[in-house]
Formats: sequence, structure tokens, C-alpha cells
Amino acid sequence: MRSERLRAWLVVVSAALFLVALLFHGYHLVAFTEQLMRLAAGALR
Amino acid sequence: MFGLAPSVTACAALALIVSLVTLVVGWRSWRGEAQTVGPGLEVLCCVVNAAALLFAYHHVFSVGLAARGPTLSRVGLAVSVLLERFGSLMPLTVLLPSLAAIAIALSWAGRMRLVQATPRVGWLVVAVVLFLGSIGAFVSGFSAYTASTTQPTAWQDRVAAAEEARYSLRRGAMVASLAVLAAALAVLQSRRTRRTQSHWAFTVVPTLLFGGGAAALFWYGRSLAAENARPVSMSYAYANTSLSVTPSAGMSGVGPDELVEAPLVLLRGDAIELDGQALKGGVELREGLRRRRALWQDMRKGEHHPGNVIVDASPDVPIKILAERLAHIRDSGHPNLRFRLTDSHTDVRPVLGTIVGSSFSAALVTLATMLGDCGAAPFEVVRLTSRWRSSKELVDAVVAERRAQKRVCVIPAGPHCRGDLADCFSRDFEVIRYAASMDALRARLDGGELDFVFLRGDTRLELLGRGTALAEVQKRTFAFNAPGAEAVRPWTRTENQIDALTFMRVASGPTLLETTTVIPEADDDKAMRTGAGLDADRQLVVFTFSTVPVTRHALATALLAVGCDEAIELAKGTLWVQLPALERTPQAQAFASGPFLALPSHE
Repeated sequence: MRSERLRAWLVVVSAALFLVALLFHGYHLVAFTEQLMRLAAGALR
Repeated sequence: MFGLAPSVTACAALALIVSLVTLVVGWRSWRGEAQTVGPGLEVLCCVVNAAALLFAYHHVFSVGLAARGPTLSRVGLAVSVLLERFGSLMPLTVLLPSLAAIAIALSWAGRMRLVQATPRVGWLVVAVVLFLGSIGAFVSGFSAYTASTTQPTAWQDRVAAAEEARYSLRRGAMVASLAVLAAALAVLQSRRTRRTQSHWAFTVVPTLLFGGGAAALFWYGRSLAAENARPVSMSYAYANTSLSVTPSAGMSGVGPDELVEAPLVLLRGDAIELDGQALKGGVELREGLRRRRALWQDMRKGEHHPGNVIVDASPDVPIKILAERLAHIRDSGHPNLRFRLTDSHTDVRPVLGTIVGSSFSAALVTLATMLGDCGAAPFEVVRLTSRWRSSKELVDAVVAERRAQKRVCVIPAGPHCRGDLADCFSRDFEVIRYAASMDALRARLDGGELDFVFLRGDTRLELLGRGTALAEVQKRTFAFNAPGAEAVRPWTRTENQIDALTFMRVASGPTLLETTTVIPEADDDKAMRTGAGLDADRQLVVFTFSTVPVTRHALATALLAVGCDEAIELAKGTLWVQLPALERTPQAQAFASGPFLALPSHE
């Protein structure tokens, strides 16, 4: 029983970690894309 | 593979392999021929496909930014890049995800039926294929990258190339580690089927996948965060050298003038490019520009063509070639030339890799056939060196003049020089501008720096010689348009004239000439003129020759240069001048607003 709960926690924690990483990465990816867009617009000058 | 960057290609190849393997296994599992897969391969399939798409868009966006940034709006950029790259992106954006989706669906369906079989050998094959395939894709991608950038031969060069390619290497390493992970999972799966099913095995697979995915996302997200923490400077247009996009090697520097919308001529040694199109020679350049001009005129009837053109010359273009190109540009009806200067700086970015930013500026010159074509500008005492050997030296001189708010007029080699260019450049030329005061002129005369100085007033032409006292100078005053003018002999077509004209043509070839304004009416200037016995209220223009020795050809050249082309005869020690056209001709008027002289310093 304990082993089952441990295994469940392992999966949950790793999944939560993955979600956090996904959000972190996504947030910065969007910011980076915005930066690229600004760069493209700025190059017009 | 799809004409994309090697790292993208490697990732796409891996995604394709994983998708195919998933498809085969899923199909067999669905048919009940094989043991089910478990979620591992499906998740892997998703991750790798997503990575391939991410890299592809990232690549396309970076390249598109580098190539299109300066000319497109934000929306235009996105649309044009997508359209332009749709052909190469289609397999990635359509084929791979579809394949992956079908494979995963099959695999899922098979697992639901829980078909019992033990394809251990099959799993081993999958592992080997995945591992070798991705390693192969990585290696071929990297070697293609290095070959496409530098084609190095020595091992030091290879190391240097690898150093430059570290961003690609990093992405390649990511792909390879994904492959290793896939292989490990496959081995794990095959071992699992051999033993009694362990509960831990079912736990370890998703934990490893989530953990590995989280680590990869944190790792890549950290570089993005670093990229965002230090934004790229907005004042440059960038080329990404990590993606084998090399910026064009123009002349570096910052010019005082703005660039305008105009045809762009690239000069790289002998090679010519007009708006990105390679041309065979100067004649093609002239005709191409003429066509552009005619097209412009057709589209805007009644408007005046601005005659703008941009020249981006590499620093090593020999002055002979440059002068010929400029002559062709001038003959095409584009006299307002801007030498483009590139201010570049290199930045190593966490995500973008090595980028080279370019900021363009210009140095404006007027291309002219003769002096009268040049305009007027404020003027100061300036001495231009005339021994330009390359485009860089000439442009540097132009930039210095433009910084001082002066207009620069370039008279390139004319058609007469095409037969024998060497002759046009075999002489050294000197341009000396207006000297501030008579004392300064005399000092330069006495110091041996100058041999002769001409003073031109409204009705008089004066000649100062070396060591000549001012009193003697006045004795050498020549009158014209005056009662005593009958002493002036009319022009006769002698050999001298022909020589002089010939020389004039040759001399005007490669000479940089400057326009100037009238002499400022400062008090000290008036005092100087009064001291020299000249009328202080009349306009005065000073020619200074540094010719050693002054020959009659040189004098004739000088006089021709200012429009005295109707009457010249030179004899030994005597100068006869008649300038009837001086008040009328445009050349004379242009000259009246400033002296230009370009004379051989020796013959």
C-alpha cells in the first residue's frame, strides 16, 4: 500500500514539475517571440 | 532534408523515425501481433514532434528576420516568411504531426485490447534504429553545417567552426540525448516483457518522461529567460551567423547622412550586384539603372526623378574600378550617390546564437561630369589628400568632408578613360581649397608648398608666383572685360589648345572635387583684399595650385576647369586670358560660388 502511494506521488510530483516547467518555458517563449516581433518592427526604421 | 538548418533537419528526421516506429508498433499491436507499447513511445513521439516544429518555426523566424527584417512590416514579415517557407515547412507541419497522431491512435487502440505477446527482438530493433538513426541525423546535420559555413580543411579550422557552431551543437546534443532516452525506454520495455510485470516499471516510465521533459523545458526556458533579460538592441538589423546567414561585407563605419529609398548597387571587387541581381559589367549596371529610372518615370508621370542611388562598396575596390563604376552610374542618370556604411556589432545570444547587427548610414556625394554640375555649400580651409588607392580611402575622405557639413562632388572617369584607364590614374592630383588669408597664401608660397596662386576678381586675374612680393604681384595683374582687353589675344586653334583639352579630360577623371560657397565677407577678408590691392567689395575667388612645376597644360587645365574655354593661349612666361563667357555660362556661375581645382602635382 505504501509503495503504491509512493509511486502515485512520484508520478504526480513529476507531472507537476513538468507543468511548471511548461509554464516557465511558455512564458519566456512568448516574451521572446514578442522581442523578435519588436526587432522586426524596429528594423524598419 | 527540407532545405532547413541541420539542427531542424536532425530533429525532423528523429521525429519521422519515432513516428514511423510508433506507427509500426501500434499497427502490430492493434492487429494483435505484438505486445502493447505503453505510453512511453507515444509521449516520446509527441515530444519529438513538438520539438521538431518548435525548431522549424524558430529557424524560419530567425532567418526570415535576418533576411526580411529591414523591408517588411510586422505582419508582412510573418506572412511572407510563412508563405515563402511553406513548401519546406509542409512536411514538418502537416506530415509529421499527422503521422504521429495516427501512430499514437493505433498504439492506444492496441493497448486497450491488451494483446499479449512478447516481441523482445522487435523492441531491441526499435532501440537500435532509434539510436543509430538519431545519432546519424545528428552527425550528418553537424557535418553539413560545418561544410556549409566554412568548409574547413585544417583541424584548427574545424575546432573554430565547432566553436562557432556551439548553438547548433547544443541543439544536436539535445536531439541525441532524446534518442538515447528513447533507446533506454525501448530497452526497458523489452526487459519488462521478459520478466514478471513490475509495478515499478509502470511508474518509472512516466516519472522519467515527465522528469526528463521538465528538465529539458527548464533548461531551454532558462536560455529564453536569459535572452529576455537582456533584449537585443533595436537600432540594428541582424543576421544570424549561427544559421549560416553571413552579413554582406560592405564598408564599415558611421556616415553623416541618412539612407533613402533607392536602387542598391553592391560592389565587391570586380563583382557588381544591382538590387540583389548579379551583373556582368559596368555597361549592364548603367542599362539596369536606366531601366529603373525609366520605370520610375513611367509610374510617376510629371514628377522629377530624384536620381538617388546607393553604393555599397567593399573597402578593397581599386579606385580604377570604382571610378569606372561611378561613371556608369552617373551616365545612367543617378547623380545623387550615397556610399553606404555599415556599423556592425556582434552579439552572442543564449538562444539566437551569434548574431551580427548592422546599422546603415551613408555619405552623400554628387556625381558630375564637369565642375558646373556641382552645387554650393559652406566652405572652410580644407586640404584633401588625393592619393586614393581604394574605395575605402575615397569614402573616408568623403565622410570627413560630410561631417564638416560640406558638399562633395565626385567627377569619375569619363568615357575617354575607358580605352586606357591606366592613363587616367597615372597622375597624382591635388585639391587645395580656398586659403584663408593672403598672408597664409604667401607663407605657403614662400615655404615652397605652392608654386603659383591665382586670384580671380570680377575683372582681373592675378598670378602670384613663389617668392614674389605683393607689389610685383599686382604688376602681373591681367585685365579682362576691361578697356585694356585688346591686349588679350583671341583663341587660336593651336596644338596647345588640343593638348590642353586632352589633358583636361584626363585630369578630370579620378579627381575628387569640392563645391564651396562664396568667400565670406568677413572684415579681415576685406582687409586682406585691400592689402592685396584688390577691390574689397568685389567677389574674389582664389585658386591655389600645388603643381610642381606649373606647366602650361596645368594652367590651361585650371582655366578650362572654370569655364574659360573660349580663349586661352599660353606662351613661355606669359599668360593670356580672355574670359568672355565667364559671366554667362552655368559653369562660370557655379564657379563663382566656389573654386574647385584639380591639377596634377607633377607631370
